[in-house]
Amino acid sequence: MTENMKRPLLAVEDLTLALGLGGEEFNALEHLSFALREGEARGLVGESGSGKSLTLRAILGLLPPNAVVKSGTMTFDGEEFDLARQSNRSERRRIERLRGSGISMIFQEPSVALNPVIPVGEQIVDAVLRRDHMTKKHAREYAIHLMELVGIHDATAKVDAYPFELSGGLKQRVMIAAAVAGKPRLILCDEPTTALDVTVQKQILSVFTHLRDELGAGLLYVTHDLAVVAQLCDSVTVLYSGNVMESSSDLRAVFDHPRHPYTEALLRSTPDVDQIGRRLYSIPGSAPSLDERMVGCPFAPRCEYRQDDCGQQRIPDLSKTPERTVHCLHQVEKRTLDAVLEEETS
Amino acid sequence: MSTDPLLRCSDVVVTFKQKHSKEPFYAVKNASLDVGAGQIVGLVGESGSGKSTLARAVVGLQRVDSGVIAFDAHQLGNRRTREDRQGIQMVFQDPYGSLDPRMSIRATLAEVIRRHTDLRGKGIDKRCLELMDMVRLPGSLLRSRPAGMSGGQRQRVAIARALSINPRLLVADEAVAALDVSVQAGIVNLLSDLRDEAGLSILFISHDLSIIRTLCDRVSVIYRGEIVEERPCADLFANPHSDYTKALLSAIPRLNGPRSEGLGQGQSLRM
Repeated sequence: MTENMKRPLLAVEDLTLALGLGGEEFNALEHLSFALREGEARGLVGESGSGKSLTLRAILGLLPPNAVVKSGTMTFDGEEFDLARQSNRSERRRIERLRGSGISMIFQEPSVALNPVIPVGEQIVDAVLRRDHMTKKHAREYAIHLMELVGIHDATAKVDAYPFELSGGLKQRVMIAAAVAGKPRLILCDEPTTALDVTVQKQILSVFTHLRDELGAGLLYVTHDLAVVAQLCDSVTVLYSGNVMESSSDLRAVFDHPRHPYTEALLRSTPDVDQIGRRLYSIPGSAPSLDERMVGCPFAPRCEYRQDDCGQQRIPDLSKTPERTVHCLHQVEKRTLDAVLEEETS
Repeated sequence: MSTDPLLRCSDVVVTFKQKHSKEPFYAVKNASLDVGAGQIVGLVGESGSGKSTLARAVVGLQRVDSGVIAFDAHQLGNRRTREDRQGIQMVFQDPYGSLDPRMSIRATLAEVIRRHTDLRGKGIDKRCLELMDMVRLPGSLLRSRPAGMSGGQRQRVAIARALSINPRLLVADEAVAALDVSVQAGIVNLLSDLRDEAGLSILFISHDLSIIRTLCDRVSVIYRGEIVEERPCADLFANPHSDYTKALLSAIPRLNGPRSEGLGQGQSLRM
């Protein structure tokens, strides 16, 4: 492993972001930090409203107009950016220059990300030409190759189609092809396979694995599907209501021995084909909306391990190991999740 | 004594006209499917496989070209009577789109009760509370409108509405697909309790094999409009027969499964 591989490709430090709602501001992300090496895939998991998509948008400077970054810096490939100064034009330009061959993003909703009046092949060709110098004819052949790679069977026939002529699943795959066309160093994925069938999902995950292993790309993968994260990612950050609950550079450690009650609850509520006859755990209550957030651990009102001190202060990282972060006062004792699930099955 | 299942579909065919061709498009081809009393039967397939079309045909929302749909040993036509409709009710995928935002939950439930039963006034109130209890929602929510409710709560209301006239079969079309995992688990448990406690039969349409495995007694796999395999759930997962089912099962992401592999031999992003 070279020195270059050990240095983080992307590091986000202390990102706090507020959303304006009806004249008031509410923190949607609080003190978020994580890092990503080259060739590493990090899963960013959490339920809707946890702030995972906002995190990706903050990195690319694509925040909605009512979002304000209160603090936070980002280091990409050794270059530092002040995320709180995105209203500053030159700072914004610097981030914009990263898009494409530096960082690219795959959105959940393909119909908004593709240009409706340009054939899909041409949109991929544009992405190719932005990075590589080649003839247009060559780029078009490469675009067809990419479309085949993401599982579009009759790519030659589809290359001149307009987005409206394709189904949602095909548009999603075209967008993935366009995003990987520039061979970016970092790919931000926002639930890229949620709308796709499992067989296609498997093919797309292989493309991502290839990008990571063969081309050394970093992946920041947002999803609520823990099984997909388990298959693809090396490290994981669990978000709830805009706060990091648990984070580790070793995904297996978190999935086998969750220390935060929320991580444990998420795993217990996930249906898995390998665990039969188990009643799924259903977390009582629902996630707080933006204006319902309060002091202390945001998960406390729904937590089985809750005690009186949970709601008094911001919970610091109380993990004893450097590669892990656990923001919880009453961590889950060290028993394997398998043991818990076995108890529930019997 | 009849040994007929509660729902029997035999050789159901549904076609659509195609814009660019005189040939009709066969969305469902000779599909046969049974749902026994007190059973949850999963119908699994990819998008475009015809699973929703078949579900809509069962409920009577889709005209059938040929084949028989029989409910309780009584053949259903393309036009359903009120009694026919009362036996089979449906829950849709989108809990945001399927409830009227201007109606309170009580009004939403009362509309159906009034149309199909003799209950009025206090009787309706009592029935509404019973239903809320069945779907594990507090009765105080009856006065709220959908806007103030979470996705999971709305889906419970949609289930309560479907149950309000005591159907014997519930058709759930991707009923948990739009929900977060922790909320989804609650709905899956609720459906399983309704089968165990009230003997409800459910046709559960989903693309999510992990949920099918958790919830269903039997499962039918549909591919390009044809049912390629139909067996008890445990059997099918342990020993899939058709090639398509095998491909489908091997693609399921697993919490403790093998890591995703890169591209196959000779495939690369480079040309």
